[in-house]
Order: sequence, then C-alpha cells, then structure tokens
Amino acid sequence: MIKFENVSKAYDESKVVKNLSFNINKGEFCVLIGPSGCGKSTTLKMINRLVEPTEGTITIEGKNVRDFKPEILRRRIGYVIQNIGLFPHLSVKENISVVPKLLKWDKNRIDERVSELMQLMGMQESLFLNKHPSELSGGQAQRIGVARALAADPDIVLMDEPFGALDPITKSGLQNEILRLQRKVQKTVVFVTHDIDEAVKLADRIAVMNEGRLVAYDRPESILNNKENEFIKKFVGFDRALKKLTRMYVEDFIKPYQSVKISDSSEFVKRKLESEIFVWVLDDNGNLKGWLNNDDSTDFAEHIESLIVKNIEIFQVSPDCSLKDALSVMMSENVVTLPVVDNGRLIGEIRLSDIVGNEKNS
Amino acid sequence: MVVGSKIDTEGSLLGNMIMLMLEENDIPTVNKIQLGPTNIVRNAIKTGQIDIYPEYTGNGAFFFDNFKKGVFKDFQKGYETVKSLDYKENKIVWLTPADANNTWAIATRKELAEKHSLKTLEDFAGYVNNGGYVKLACSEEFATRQDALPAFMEAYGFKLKDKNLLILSGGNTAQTEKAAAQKTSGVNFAMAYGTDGALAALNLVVLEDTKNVQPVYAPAPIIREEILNRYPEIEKILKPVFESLNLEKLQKMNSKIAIGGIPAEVVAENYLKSNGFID
Amino acid sequence: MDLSTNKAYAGLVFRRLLDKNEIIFLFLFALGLFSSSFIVEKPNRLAGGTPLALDSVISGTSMFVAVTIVLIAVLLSKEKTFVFTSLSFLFLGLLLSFFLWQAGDYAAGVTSQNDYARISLSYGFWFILGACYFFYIYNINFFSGAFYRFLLSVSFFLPLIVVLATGFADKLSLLIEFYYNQDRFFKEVLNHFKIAYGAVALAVVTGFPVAVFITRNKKLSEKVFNVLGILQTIPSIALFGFLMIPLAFIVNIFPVLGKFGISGIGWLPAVIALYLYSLLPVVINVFTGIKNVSSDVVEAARGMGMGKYQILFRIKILLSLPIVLNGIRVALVQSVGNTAVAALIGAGGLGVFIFQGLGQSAPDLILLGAIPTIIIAVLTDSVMQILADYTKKKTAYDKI
Repeated sequence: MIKFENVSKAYDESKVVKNLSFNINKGEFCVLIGPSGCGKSTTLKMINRLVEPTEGTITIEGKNVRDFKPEILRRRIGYVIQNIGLFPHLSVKENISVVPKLLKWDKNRIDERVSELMQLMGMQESLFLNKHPSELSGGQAQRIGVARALAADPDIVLMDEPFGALDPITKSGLQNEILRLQRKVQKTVVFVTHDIDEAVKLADRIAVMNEGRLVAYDRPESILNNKENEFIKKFVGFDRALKKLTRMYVEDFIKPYQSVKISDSSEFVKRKLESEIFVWVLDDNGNLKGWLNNDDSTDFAEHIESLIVKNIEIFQVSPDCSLKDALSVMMSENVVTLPVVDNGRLIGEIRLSDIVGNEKNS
Repeated sequence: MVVGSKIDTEGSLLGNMIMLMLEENDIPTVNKIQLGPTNIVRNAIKTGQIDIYPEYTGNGAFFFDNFKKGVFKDFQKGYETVKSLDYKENKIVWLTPADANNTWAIATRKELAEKHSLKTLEDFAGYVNNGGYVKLACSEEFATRQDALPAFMEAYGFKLKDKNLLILSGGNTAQTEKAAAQKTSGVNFAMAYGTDGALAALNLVVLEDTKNVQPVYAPAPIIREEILNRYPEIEKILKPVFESLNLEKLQKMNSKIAIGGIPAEVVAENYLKSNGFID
Repeated sequence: MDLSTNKAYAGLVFRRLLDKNEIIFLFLFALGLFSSSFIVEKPNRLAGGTPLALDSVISGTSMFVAVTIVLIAVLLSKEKTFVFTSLSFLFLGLLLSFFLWQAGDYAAGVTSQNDYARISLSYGFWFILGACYFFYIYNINFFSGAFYRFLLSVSFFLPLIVVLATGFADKLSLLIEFYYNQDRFFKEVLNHFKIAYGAVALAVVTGFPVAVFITRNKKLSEKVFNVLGILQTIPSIALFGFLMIPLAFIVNIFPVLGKFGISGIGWLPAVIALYLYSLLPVVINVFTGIKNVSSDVVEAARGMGMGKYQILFRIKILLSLPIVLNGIRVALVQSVGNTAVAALIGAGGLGVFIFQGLGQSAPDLILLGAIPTIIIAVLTDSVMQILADYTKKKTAYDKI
C-alpha cells in the first residue's frame, strides 16, 4: 500500500536516507527501528510530506504522494508524536474533533465519532471530554493523541516514538491497547521506535535501518532468528531468544490438567494424589480455588478446603499472556507449572518444559 | 475657524470671548485656546494653523523693525503702525482694539516696597545699584525680549545678572506673583501684567514706570485675511466687545479666573451675557 | 514585672502580632494621622496657605476612635478569610470617608464666610490614603478569583465613592476645581482614552503582522528590535515636539488636510508618538509569544493537515495570548501616562489640567488632572492583568 522506490533524503552534503525501497502492505503494522540517526523518523515523515525526499518516489495505493496538496494528504493520515502535542487551549473533545472539522464533517457525525473513539480507548466520555490537556496524565494524554489521530478514520496511521516519554507501566498498557485496537480496526500503521522489545511486541513486520539504509525488512521472528548479519545480531541483543517469547502466547501451549473438586470426598482426593504430584482444586463451576500437594504430612481426615494452598492468584496466567511473562512468573515464584485461568475458570496448564523446549522448534 | 490664544489668563479670557461671539453668530469654531507662548501662537497664525487670536499692539515693536522709534508708546499710532505692517508682510488684519494697557511691569511685596521706599522703577534701580538683594521671577520672554527687561535695564540704568533671575517656563504671571508673595526660592520681585487680578489679593504693588519705557499693549483680535474675506462680518461682531473693555474690567475678570479659579470660559460668557452681547 | 519589662513584653507581642507589612501600614497611617498638615487653608486660590492638623477638623474623641478602628481593621485582616477581610476593608473605607466628609464639612464652613477661600487636602490626608491603599493591595493578594477581589474592592472603595457622590466633600478645593471644569473634564477624559488607547490599538493592528513576519527572519528581527528600542529612549516631550515640524510642513503643502484635523499641533503628533512607543512592547510580546508556542503542538498541527494560516490563527495566536495581552497591558499603561504630557502640544487629555494648574499655580487643578490619570492607569493595568491571567489558565501546558 505504501511503496518507497529509491527514496533518498539529503541535508546539505550528508544523506540521512539512502536509496530506500520497500513496500508496506495494507493492514500491516510496520515498525521502523534502528539506532539514533539512522533515518527512521525522516523516513516516516516523508510519507505525510513533513519532509520531502530529494530523490525517489513514495506512493500510496499507486498514487504519488506529491500529487496531493500536503494539507489534504495529511488530513487522511493519522499522526501521533512522542510529546503528543495536544492543543492546550482546546478541550479533549475539541482536540479530537480537529481533523473532522477540517474535513467539514457535520456536528452530529463528529459527536458520534468522538463517542466511538472514547469507547475504543476505554475512557469515560463524561469524565474526560470537557477536560483540558493540562489536566490529563501522560497516559491519558497519549490515548487522546491516538484518538485524535484516528478521528477521521484514516487508512494509514503514522506514529513517531509515541510511547517514548511514558513510564514503563503506562507504556506497556498503551502497547496492549494498540495491539487490541489493531485487531479491531486493522489500519496500516507505520511505527517508529528505538526499543526492540516494543518492536517485537507490536510489529507484523520490522524494518531495521542503519545509517540511512534498510538493513532488513521481515517478520519479527525472522529478525530475531537472523544469525548472519552482525549489525542485526548486535542490535537485537543477546537475549533474542527471550524476546521471541514475547510473540508467543500461553493459549498456544496449554496442556491438559489434573483436578479435583472441593466437593469431592477425601478418599477420592487421596487416591488421585497417589498418581499425581499435585492436583488443582476447583469448585463445582470449574473455578480455580487452589492446589493440593502429595505430601506425607497431609492428613486426609481434614476437610479438603482446609488443606488446599489458596494463594493461587500469584501463579495464574491468562491465555493471552505472553510466554515471556509466564516464564517470568515461573522464575519469580520458583515453580515449573502454572495454571491457565480464563475468567476464573481453570482451562489448562503451562509447563516450563513447554516453553524451553518449544523455543527450538519455532 | 480655528481660534487660538496665548497661554496666560487674559489670553484665555479674550480668546474665549472671541470664540463665544463667533459661535453666537453661527460661525463654526475650533478651540485652540491657550496654545503656548507668543512665538508659538504667532507662528501658528502665520502658517495658517490658527485663524484668529488676541494680540497686543505693543508687540509690534517685537515683530517688526521698520517703524519709527517710540511710535508704540502712543496707543493710536502704535495700533495703526502694527496694523499696516502686519497686513503688508503677513496679510494679517488687526481688528478694533480695547482701550486697556496691559503692559509689562515689575511688582514686589508691599512690605518690602515700604521697607526700602520703592515706589518707582527709578527707586528700584537705586536699590539694585546699592547692592540690594534681588531675585526676580519672570518668563524667558520677559528676560530676553529687547523691549522687556533689557529695555528697563537700559532706561533706568541697572543691571540684573543670571543669579538675580528665576526663569519660569510659560508666561503666566500667577506663578511669578505667587512666588514673590510666598518668597519661594528667595523670590522677592515678580514679572506682572498691568491688568493682573492677583496683585491686590497677594499684597503686591507694581513699581511705576515713570519713564514710560514700556510701549502700550492694547489687546486686539488679529485674523488672517483669507478667513476675514470669508466672514467679513467678524469685524462688526467683535468691535463692540473690545470697545467695551477697559483696564478695570479686565483686572476684575482676571482676578475671578486666577484667584477665584472660575474657568475663563465661564467668566467670558458671564461678561458677554450681562452686557447683552450674547443671550 | 516592672514597667520596662512590661514594655519589652508588649513590644515583643506586638512584633509577633503584626507582620512587616502591617507595621509599615500603621506607621504610614500614623504619619498622616498626626501630621501637622492634614489640610491647608488658603484665603484664595493663589495665596499661600496655613497648614492644619487633623485635630482641627475632627474632635479628640474621634481621633481616638479612629485609631481604635484602624487597629481593629488590622486585627480583623489577620484572619485571611473573605468575611473578615471585607469587614476590615469596610472599616477602613468608612474611616477614610469619614475623614473626607469632615474635611468637606470644614471647607463648607470656611467657604460660606469667604467665597474665594480654598481648603485643600494636604499630605497628611494623602499619607493616610496611601497607607490604606497599600494595606488594600497587600491584603487583596491573598485572594484569587476575580469575583472575590471585586467584592473586596467594593467594600473598600464604596464608602469613599458615596461621600464624593452625595456631595459632602464638594467644598474642598479639588472638587471646586472639578465642578468649575466639569464639562471640559469629561471631554478630556474621553480624549485621554481616545489618544492613549487609540495609539495602542494602532500599534496592535500594525505591529502584529510585523511581529509574525519577523518570527521567520532572525536578522530582520534583530534590526527591528534595535530600531524600536532606540525609539523607546526618546523622551516623550522631545518626540512630540519633533513630530510637530514635519507635520506642520505637510499641512503647509496640503492645506486641505487641515480640514481633517491634521496639523502640527494637536492629537496627531501625540498619537503618532504614542504609537511609536507602543510598538516595542506589542511587537516583542507577539514575537516571543509565537516563538514560545511548543514546537510539539505546531508539529502535531502540521502533521494533522492544518495549513500555515490555520496554524497561525487557530493555534499560535491563541496560545500566545497571555504574553501578548501582557505586552498590550504594558503599552496601555505607558500610553496613559505619556498622554498626560501630550497636552503640551495641544492634544488634549487630562494633562490639560495638569499644565493649566502648573501655569496658574493652582495645585488642586494639577491634582484634577493627575489623580484621574493614575486611576485610569491602575484600572487599565488591573483589567488587562485579569484578562491575561484568564487566558493563561486556558492555554496552560501543565496544570497551574
């Protein structure tokens, strides 16, 4: 959809982008990554003509971007920047409405769209619409920034290190939001970052740049597996194996489990534990309540409920949890198996051997 | 029609009278009364920035130089001389004057005059020459114009140096007289006008000009010919007013303004109304 | 405890009871209260006067009550709540108006015997007034919100205004001058506004595009600010006088211009001079305001597809309003002050009374010109300050 053909950009004598050629497909989440000064931001800005290339052409769906007036082009492309740039003198609602107003949408359509977007971003309309940017936290502000970029429902969204100024918790939350959004709306996104973890987490394809050149443009797994290119290897880092785990999810590695119910008799439980090291304990609705160990000290004369280990929350993971996070839980709690819980119901197990073992096969 | 006047009290009074008379006769006016000292106002009429203002016949000696010496000491002769000269050179017409002599004078506190037996300027000259303390408050104009202080000094044979003078900007004798009355900054003599209203109230006496050094300063409206041609009736309108004025009446009215603080417009209007010139 | 310890103790308590500003207020107030020259009595407008202390005007008991009221006012004001402070202000306002009323009463008595007699307020009164104004400013700053500040100001000034309006002070010299010159006074107030505000309006309209233009050109901006800075250093009287010459010259060549009120004297040279003075504060503040707009905001605006002029008018100008309004405030206050001098070249305005008063040696006439000028300047400053603060709140990048 977005095609770069032999694009270069030079400032005075030095070329910051050298002969770039690649194609971003429709609906694809493309991440531009590289060290400082590699030309990734410049490349992004050439798409909406904030920067004009000195050589080469950029086309969107076959049409040369130079055929459009810059302002007209930009109104059809969403743009999010690191420091957000919300207009301080406008309310949240007015901020979001900027591009629709430029496109002369009627009032009702704009109001509807604003509601839609606030819902999409998970922010309560009545609470936020009349606030001014100075009253928002960093995370809230960037959410509004994204909403603003999506307001006119553009097909393309450009994001230039949008989460770079946020704290890790907010950043992670927003990254998850973006993933969730992308699953829903399937825009063509071009995202610039210098954080390889972020790139691996979000991208469909990663474009690695160095000194103005495109070094590689491939799926994250391939980039992570690349053992030939020294630059990529060093850029990705030693922990590329762990990074791969962020792209794999628990739900794909669930194994069956053994369980008993609280209502079961002590006899039944005792017999079960003769063949298992431990069992999960569920209630009659299948909700996970705890686990029970095969331990000589267990006195089965007592009621089951008083025997089970109940602090189950620290171990449980959801199906959409990444393998990296699952591994992290295992390491911090010193266990090799975790329960996979969906809405309180136990649906399976995940084991360390599945994570480590599987790594070789992907 | 632009009506101007000098910045002093009497100028304001006469200027307002002129303006009120013109308005009464449906001639539209623009008020530029109390514009500035003599030279500014004179310049303004010559360049056409104002059209009419009250001037004094005696000033002819100051504006022109091709006249017979001493002619300004005579009321009639002075008037006619300045009238013809101003018309010839500047196309400015002098209308009917008032028979009042508002001449420059030197005044002092009554007690000081009595103490040193000062009645005339001759006495004053003697006082100065005997080393008497003099601090004279006056305007720049008075100190430097040839027919003012320098003329006194020459005629009576005394000399005042810079240290004897306190020069005030503007020409309002209220300031100089007040300074002498209150001994401000050591002032004990003041420049005054013959028609000043404040003299009696401040206990000041005027030193007599026995040698008649000063020319006659009779006030008259002067107007640019161009404007007069447009409104020839002005001559007739202003004549009876100026003819009705004399020294006492002017002194009384000046006093109301300077001492009573009644604005010149009001005093002028009252005079014109009570004499039936306007309704 | 003996007397000296008592005194020391009282002094300590007093010192801890009052803060620095309150001590200053009480000191100034006392200076005025016990001054030997509260009013001056003159047999006529021109003559010298006899100074009279406050106890010639009010009784000894009243003096004592006055002192008590002042102390109560100070104590009330220590509680920085709206109710207590407005009570404190009310007490002071009433006290001031009482003094004014009594002075007016005394003047009425004297003038009924002697038509020409003049009673002027002297520095005793002005010290008291100044002290109270100082107290007012000090205390009102503890309150934010235009509405509360307005109400507090009303409780301070209303008693004074009532005394003036009901004519109890009418026989004071200052008010006699006012009544004699009433028509002219209002005419000149209007002129004063027209000249001072008109000049600044011109500066805003013409200076604004210039400022926007030079934000793009560093060298040009340096030259422009150099020139404007030099203009500021020219004393106003000199500039007025200087402008008279070319204007008179032009009117000589095109006499028809005289019909439009254009001449070497009058409002035109004054407005031109004031316009030139107003350019620097206006241009520099528009320039700074626009430059200081966050580059992120501008980048976001560009990236969203706003055109150059849309960005200028909808974003840059609005966001720079606090700074711009501040510049306009400076220009206006400066203008109001300088317009007082413009009367020298026949431009009118309140300076007319100042210079007439100077020429006629009538101090109260001078005050008739000076006091309203000061009031106008202070009001202008306050209103513009409120506007600037309001826009500051609405354009803040972070919560203030």
